[in-house]
Amino acid sequence: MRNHFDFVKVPAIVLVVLGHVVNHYTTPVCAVSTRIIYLFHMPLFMALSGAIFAIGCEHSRYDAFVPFVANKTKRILVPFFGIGLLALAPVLCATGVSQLGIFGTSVNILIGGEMIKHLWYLQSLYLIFICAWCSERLHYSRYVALAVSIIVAVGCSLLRVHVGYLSIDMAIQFLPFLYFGMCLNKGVLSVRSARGGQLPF
Amino acid sequence: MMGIWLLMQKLTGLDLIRNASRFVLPCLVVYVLVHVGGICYERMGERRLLTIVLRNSFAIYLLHMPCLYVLRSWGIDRLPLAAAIVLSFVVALTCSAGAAEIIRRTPARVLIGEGK
Repeated sequence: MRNHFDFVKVPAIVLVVLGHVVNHYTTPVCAVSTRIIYLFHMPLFMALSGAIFAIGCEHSRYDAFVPFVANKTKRILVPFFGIGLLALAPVLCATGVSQLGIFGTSVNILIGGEMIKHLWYLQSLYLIFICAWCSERLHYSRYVALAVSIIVAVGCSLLRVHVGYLSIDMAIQFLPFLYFGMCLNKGVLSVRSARGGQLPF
Repeated sequence: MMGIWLLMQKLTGLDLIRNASRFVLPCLVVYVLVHVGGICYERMGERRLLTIVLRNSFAIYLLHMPCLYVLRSWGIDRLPLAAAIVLSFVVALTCSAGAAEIIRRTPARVLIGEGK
Protein backbone atom coordinates (compact mmCIF):
# COMPACT_ATOMS: atom_id res chain seq x y z
CA MET A 1 0.00 0.00 0.00
CA ARG A 2 1.53 3.27 -1.06
CA ASN A 3 -0.89 5.67 0.60
CA HIS A 4 -4.22 5.84 2.35
CA PHE A 5 -6.05 6.19 -0.97
CA ASP A 6 -4.91 2.64 -1.72
CA PHE A 7 -6.36 1.60 1.63
CA VAL A 8 -9.77 3.08 0.73
CA LYS A 9 -9.77 1.10 -2.54
CA VAL A 10 -10.41 -2.08 -0.56
CA PRO A 11 -13.81 -1.10 0.93
CA ALA A 12 -14.61 0.55 -2.43
CA ILE A 13 -14.18 -2.70 -4.38
CA VAL A 14 -16.08 -4.64 -1.71
CA LEU A 15 -18.94 -2.14 -2.01
CA VAL A 16 -18.95 -2.52 -5.80
CA VAL A 17 -19.38 -6.27 -5.55
CA LEU A 18 -21.92 -5.97 -2.73
CA GLY A 19 -23.87 -3.34 -4.70
CA HIS A 20 -24.06 -5.59 -7.75
CA VAL A 21 -25.14 -8.55 -5.64
CA VAL A 22 -27.94 -6.81 -3.72
CA ASN A 23 -29.04 -4.86 -6.79
CA HIS A 24 -30.62 -8.04 -8.13
CA TYR A 25 -33.00 -8.47 -5.18
CA THR A 26 -36.23 -6.58 -4.70
CA THR A 27 -36.74 -6.80 -0.93
CA PRO A 28 -37.02 -3.43 0.86
CA VAL A 29 -33.72 -3.95 2.72
CA CYS A 30 -31.89 -4.69 -0.53
CA ALA A 31 -33.57 -1.75 -2.27
CA VAL A 32 -32.42 0.63 0.46
CA SER A 33 -28.93 -0.91 0.58
CA THR A 34 -28.64 -0.61 -3.19
CA ARG A 35 -29.65 3.04 -3.10
CA ILE A 36 -27.16 3.83 -0.36
CA ILE A 37 -24.29 1.97 -2.03
CA TYR A 38 -25.08 3.38 -5.49
CA LEU A 39 -25.11 6.88 -4.03
CA PHE A 40 -21.37 6.90 -3.55
CA HIS A 41 -19.56 3.74 -4.65
CA MET A 42 -18.65 4.83 -8.18
CA PRO A 43 -18.03 8.46 -7.16
CA LEU A 44 -15.66 7.03 -4.57
CA PHE A 45 -13.81 5.05 -7.23
CA MET A 46 -13.64 8.07 -9.50
CA ALA A 47 -12.40 10.31 -6.66
CA LEU A 48 -9.72 7.77 -5.78
CA SER A 49 -8.65 7.66 -9.44
CA GLY A 50 -8.50 11.46 -9.39
CA ALA A 51 -6.44 11.54 -6.19
CA ILE A 52 -3.95 9.00 -7.54
CA PHE A 53 -3.83 10.82 -10.90
CA ALA A 54 -3.06 14.04 -9.01
CA ILE A 55 -0.22 12.32 -7.17
CA GLY A 56 1.15 11.20 -10.57
CA CYS A 57 0.88 14.75 -11.92
CA GLU A 58 2.69 16.13 -8.87
CA HIS A 59 5.52 13.66 -9.48
CA SER A 60 5.66 14.74 -13.17
CA ARG A 61 4.72 11.26 -14.38
CA TYR A 62 2.30 12.55 -16.99
CA ASP A 63 4.15 15.40 -18.63
CA ALA A 64 4.01 14.30 -22.26
CA PHE A 65 0.71 13.52 -23.97
CA VAL A 66 1.70 10.52 -26.10
CA PRO A 67 3.25 8.44 -23.28
CA PHE A 68 0.28 9.36 -21.08
CA VAL A 69 -2.24 8.18 -23.67
CA ALA A 70 -0.19 5.06 -24.37
CA ASN A 71 -0.08 4.28 -20.64
CA LYS A 72 -3.82 4.77 -20.18
CA THR A 73 -4.60 2.79 -23.34
CA LYS A 74 -2.59 -0.13 -22.01
CA ARG A 75 -4.01 0.08 -18.50
CA ILE A 76 -7.63 0.91 -19.32
CA LEU A 77 -8.57 0.21 -22.94
CA VAL A 78 -6.74 -3.11 -23.33
CA PRO A 79 -8.45 -4.58 -20.22
CA PHE A 80 -11.75 -3.13 -21.50
CA PHE A 81 -11.42 -4.84 -24.89
CA GLY A 82 -9.97 -8.01 -23.42
CA ILE A 83 -12.50 -8.58 -20.64
CA GLY A 84 -15.39 -7.23 -22.70
CA LEU A 85 -14.77 -9.54 -25.65
CA LEU A 86 -13.29 -12.59 -23.92
CA ALA A 87 -15.28 -12.73 -20.68
CA LEU A 88 -18.34 -10.49 -20.56
CA ALA A 89 -19.76 -11.06 -24.07
CA PRO A 90 -19.53 -14.90 -23.93
CA VAL A 91 -21.02 -14.96 -20.41
CA LEU A 92 -23.90 -12.66 -21.36
CA CYS A 93 -24.69 -14.83 -24.38
CA ALA A 94 -24.27 -18.14 -22.56
CA THR A 95 -26.49 -17.09 -19.65
CA GLY A 96 -29.19 -15.71 -21.95
CA VAL A 97 -28.86 -12.13 -20.69
CA SER A 98 -28.08 -10.98 -24.24
CA GLN A 99 -30.13 -12.12 -27.22
CA LEU A 100 -27.87 -10.32 -29.71
CA GLY A 101 -25.51 -13.19 -30.42
CA ILE A 102 -21.82 -13.12 -29.65
CA PHE A 103 -20.94 -10.67 -32.45
CA GLY A 104 -23.82 -8.32 -31.70
CA THR A 105 -23.09 -8.40 -27.97
CA SER A 106 -19.40 -7.69 -28.58
CA VAL A 107 -20.20 -4.73 -30.83
CA ASN A 108 -22.76 -3.49 -28.30
CA ILE A 109 -20.14 -3.61 -25.54
CA LEU A 110 -17.54 -1.82 -27.66
CA ILE A 111 -19.84 1.05 -28.60
CA GLY A 112 -21.00 1.46 -25.01
CA GLY A 113 -24.51 0.07 -25.46
CA GLU A 114 -26.65 -1.51 -22.76
CA MET A 115 -24.57 -4.70 -22.68
CA ILE A 116 -21.49 -2.83 -21.50
CA LYS A 117 -22.62 -3.40 -17.88
CA HIS A 118 -19.89 -2.53 -15.35
CA LEU A 119 -17.26 -1.87 -18.05
CA TRP A 120 -18.72 1.61 -18.69
CA TYR A 121 -16.34 2.75 -15.96
CA LEU A 122 -13.26 1.97 -18.07
CA GLN A 123 -14.59 3.71 -21.18
CA SER A 124 -15.60 6.81 -19.31
CA LEU A 125 -12.43 6.82 -17.19
CA TYR A 126 -10.32 6.88 -20.36
CA LEU A 127 -12.20 9.92 -21.68
CA ILE A 128 -12.11 11.58 -18.26
CA PHE A 129 -8.34 11.10 -17.91
CA ILE A 130 -7.70 12.74 -21.29
CA CYS A 131 -9.93 15.65 -20.26
CA ALA A 132 -8.20 15.96 -16.88
CA TRP A 133 -4.74 15.79 -18.49
CA CYS A 134 -5.67 18.65 -20.83
CA SER A 135 -6.91 20.83 -17.97
CA GLU A 136 -3.74 20.08 -15.96
CA ARG A 137 -1.49 20.97 -18.89
CA LEU A 138 -3.40 24.19 -19.43
CA HIS A 139 -2.71 24.94 -15.74
CA TYR A 140 -6.34 25.52 -14.87
CA SER A 141 -7.00 25.56 -11.15
CA ARG A 142 -8.46 22.23 -10.04
CA TYR A 143 -11.19 24.06 -8.14
CA VAL A 144 -12.17 25.98 -11.28
CA ALA A 145 -12.14 22.74 -13.28
CA LEU A 146 -14.33 21.14 -10.59
CA ALA A 147 -16.82 24.01 -10.71
CA VAL A 148 -16.94 24.01 -14.52
CA SER A 149 -17.38 20.24 -14.66
CA ILE A 150 -20.26 20.42 -12.15
CA ILE A 151 -21.95 23.14 -14.21
CA VAL A 152 -21.52 21.09 -17.40
CA ALA A 153 -22.82 17.92 -15.74
CA VAL A 154 -25.83 19.65 -14.15
CA GLY A 155 -26.49 21.52 -17.42
CA CYS A 156 -26.41 18.33 -19.48
CA SER A 157 -28.71 16.65 -16.99
CA LEU A 158 -31.20 19.53 -16.90
CA LEU A 159 -31.22 20.04 -20.67
CA ARG A 160 -31.43 16.27 -21.18
CA VAL A 161 -28.35 16.16 -23.40
CA HIS A 162 -27.95 12.48 -24.13
CA VAL A 163 -25.09 10.79 -25.97
CA GLY A 164 -25.80 7.09 -25.83
CA TYR A 165 -22.43 5.84 -27.02
CA LEU A 166 -18.91 5.29 -25.68
CA SER A 167 -20.07 6.10 -22.14
CA ILE A 168 -19.81 9.82 -22.90
CA ASP A 169 -22.86 10.51 -20.69
CA MET A 170 -21.22 8.77 -17.77
CA ALA A 171 -17.94 10.59 -18.42
CA ILE A 172 -19.73 13.94 -18.21
CA GLN A 173 -21.57 12.86 -15.07
CA PHE A 174 -18.48 11.52 -13.29
CA LEU A 175 -15.86 14.07 -14.35
CA PRO A 176 -16.65 16.28 -11.30
CA PHE A 177 -15.84 13.39 -8.98
CA LEU A 178 -12.40 12.96 -10.57
CA TYR A 179 -11.68 16.66 -10.05
CA PHE A 180 -13.06 16.34 -6.52
CA GLY A 181 -10.56 13.56 -5.89
CA MET A 182 -7.75 15.70 -7.31
CA CYS A 183 -8.73 18.56 -5.00
CA LEU A 184 -9.09 16.14 -2.11
CA ASN A 185 -5.56 14.90 -2.65
CA LYS A 186 -4.26 18.46 -2.69
CA GLY A 187 -6.14 19.29 0.52
CA VAL A 188 -5.02 16.16 2.34
CA LEU A 189 -1.38 16.61 1.27
CA SER A 190 -1.25 20.27 2.25
CA VAL A 191 -2.76 19.62 5.69
CA ARG A 192 -0.44 16.62 6.14
CA SER A 193 2.66 18.67 5.39
CA ALA A 194 1.46 21.42 7.75
CA ARG A 195 1.12 18.80 10.51
CA GLY A 196 4.49 17.24 9.81
CA GLY A 197 3.30 14.29 7.75
CA GLN A 198 0.31 13.42 9.96
CA LEU A 199 -3.05 12.88 8.38
CA PRO A 200 -5.56 15.70 8.99
CA PHE A 201 -7.62 14.26 11.83
CA MET B 1 -26.27 30.75 -1.32
CA MET B 2 -29.22 28.45 -0.69
CA GLY B 3 -31.57 31.40 -1.26
CA ILE B 4 -29.98 32.17 -4.63
CA TRP B 5 -30.23 28.51 -5.56
CA LEU B 6 -33.93 28.41 -4.58
CA LEU B 7 -34.58 31.64 -6.50
CA MET B 8 -32.88 30.21 -9.59
CA GLN B 9 -34.98 27.08 -9.26
CA LYS B 10 -38.13 29.18 -8.99
CA LEU B 11 -37.18 31.34 -11.98
CA THR B 12 -36.00 28.57 -14.29
CA GLY B 13 -38.48 25.93 -13.22
CA LEU B 14 -35.67 23.36 -13.33
CA ASP B 15 -35.02 20.84 -10.59
CA LEU B 16 -31.71 22.32 -9.52
CA ILE B 17 -31.69 21.03 -5.95
CA ARG B 18 -32.10 17.39 -6.92
CA ASN B 19 -29.38 17.74 -9.55
CA ALA B 20 -27.00 19.52 -7.20
CA SER B 21 -27.60 16.94 -4.48
CA ARG B 22 -26.43 14.27 -6.92
CA PHE B 23 -22.96 15.79 -6.58
CA VAL B 24 -23.01 17.18 -3.08
CA LEU B 25 -24.14 14.05 -1.24
CA PRO B 26 -21.68 11.63 -2.90
CA CYS B 27 -18.87 14.17 -2.45
CA LEU B 28 -19.65 14.45 1.28
CA VAL B 29 -19.71 10.68 1.68
CA VAL B 30 -16.49 10.30 -0.34
CA TYR B 31 -14.81 13.00 1.75
CA VAL B 32 -15.77 11.24 4.98
CA LEU B 33 -14.78 7.81 3.67
CA VAL B 34 -11.36 8.96 2.48
CA HIS B 35 -10.66 10.53 5.85
CA VAL B 36 -11.99 7.57 7.81
CA GLY B 37 -9.86 5.37 5.53
CA GLY B 38 -6.89 7.56 6.44
CA ILE B 39 -7.52 7.04 10.16
CA CYS B 40 -7.86 3.28 9.70
CA TYR B 41 -4.69 3.17 7.58
CA GLU B 42 -2.75 5.03 10.26
CA ARG B 43 -4.08 2.78 13.03
CA MET B 44 -4.16 -0.61 11.29
CA GLY B 45 -1.27 -0.36 8.88
CA GLU B 46 -0.99 -3.11 6.27
CA ARG B 47 -2.89 -6.34 6.76
CA ARG B 48 -2.40 -9.42 4.61
CA LEU B 49 -6.05 -9.73 3.59
CA LEU B 50 -6.24 -6.06 2.66
CA THR B 51 -3.07 -6.34 0.61
CA ILE B 52 -4.46 -9.36 -1.28
CA VAL B 53 -7.74 -7.60 -2.07
CA LEU B 54 -5.89 -4.41 -3.03
CA ARG B 55 -3.48 -6.31 -5.29
CA ASN B 56 -6.43 -7.88 -7.10
CA SER B 57 -8.85 -4.96 -6.88
CA PHE B 58 -8.80 -4.06 -10.58
CA ALA B 59 -9.16 -7.69 -11.61
CA ILE B 60 -12.00 -8.14 -9.12
CA TYR B 61 -13.73 -5.14 -10.64
CA LEU B 62 -13.31 -6.53 -14.16
CA LEU B 63 -14.31 -10.12 -13.45
CA HIS B 64 -16.92 -10.01 -10.69
CA MET B 65 -19.86 -9.33 -13.03
CA PRO B 66 -19.30 -12.36 -15.29
CA CYS B 67 -19.08 -14.44 -12.07
CA LEU B 68 -22.35 -12.99 -10.78
CA TYR B 69 -24.14 -13.63 -14.09
CA VAL B 70 -23.03 -17.26 -14.05
CA LEU B 71 -24.19 -17.65 -10.44
CA ARG B 72 -27.56 -16.14 -11.28
CA SER B 73 -27.97 -18.49 -14.23
CA TRP B 74 -27.36 -21.37 -11.80
CA GLY B 75 -30.33 -20.19 -9.74
CA ILE B 76 -28.65 -18.61 -6.77
CA ASP B 77 -31.73 -16.40 -6.47
CA ARG B 78 -33.67 -19.37 -5.10
CA LEU B 79 -31.51 -19.49 -1.97
CA PRO B 80 -32.47 -17.51 1.14
CA LEU B 81 -31.44 -13.90 0.75
CA ALA B 82 -28.62 -13.85 3.30
CA ALA B 83 -27.12 -17.08 1.97
CA ALA B 84 -27.39 -15.84 -1.61
CA ILE B 85 -25.65 -12.59 -0.73
CA VAL B 86 -22.84 -14.30 1.20
CA LEU B 87 -22.36 -16.98 -1.45
CA SER B 88 -22.41 -14.48 -4.35
CA PHE B 89 -19.96 -12.32 -2.51
CA VAL B 90 -17.53 -15.08 -1.61
CA VAL B 91 -17.66 -16.73 -5.05
CA ALA B 92 -17.31 -13.44 -6.94
CA LEU B 93 -14.31 -12.35 -4.89
CA THR B 94 -12.64 -15.77 -4.86
CA CYS B 95 -13.15 -16.48 -8.57
CA SER B 96 -12.05 -12.98 -9.59
CA ALA B 97 -8.94 -13.08 -7.43
CA GLY B 98 -8.17 -16.65 -8.52
CA ALA B 99 -8.63 -15.88 -12.21
CA ALA B 100 -6.52 -12.76 -11.77
CA GLU B 101 -3.74 -14.82 -10.22
CA ILE B 102 -3.80 -17.23 -13.18
CA ILE B 103 -3.94 -14.41 -15.75
CA ARG B 104 -1.09 -12.69 -13.95
CA ARG B 105 1.18 -15.67 -14.62
CA THR B 106 0.61 -15.54 -18.38
CA PRO B 107 1.54 -12.91 -20.99
CA ALA B 108 -2.18 -11.97 -20.96
CA ARG B 109 -1.57 -10.10 -17.68
CA VAL B 110 -2.02 -6.89 -19.63
CA LEU B 111 -5.75 -7.77 -19.67
CA ILE B 112 -5.94 -6.96 -15.97
CA GLY B 113 -3.92 -3.80 -16.33
CA GLU B 114 -0.56 -5.26 -15.36
CA GLY B 115 2.73 -5.94 -17.08
CA LYS B 116 5.11 -3.73 -19.00
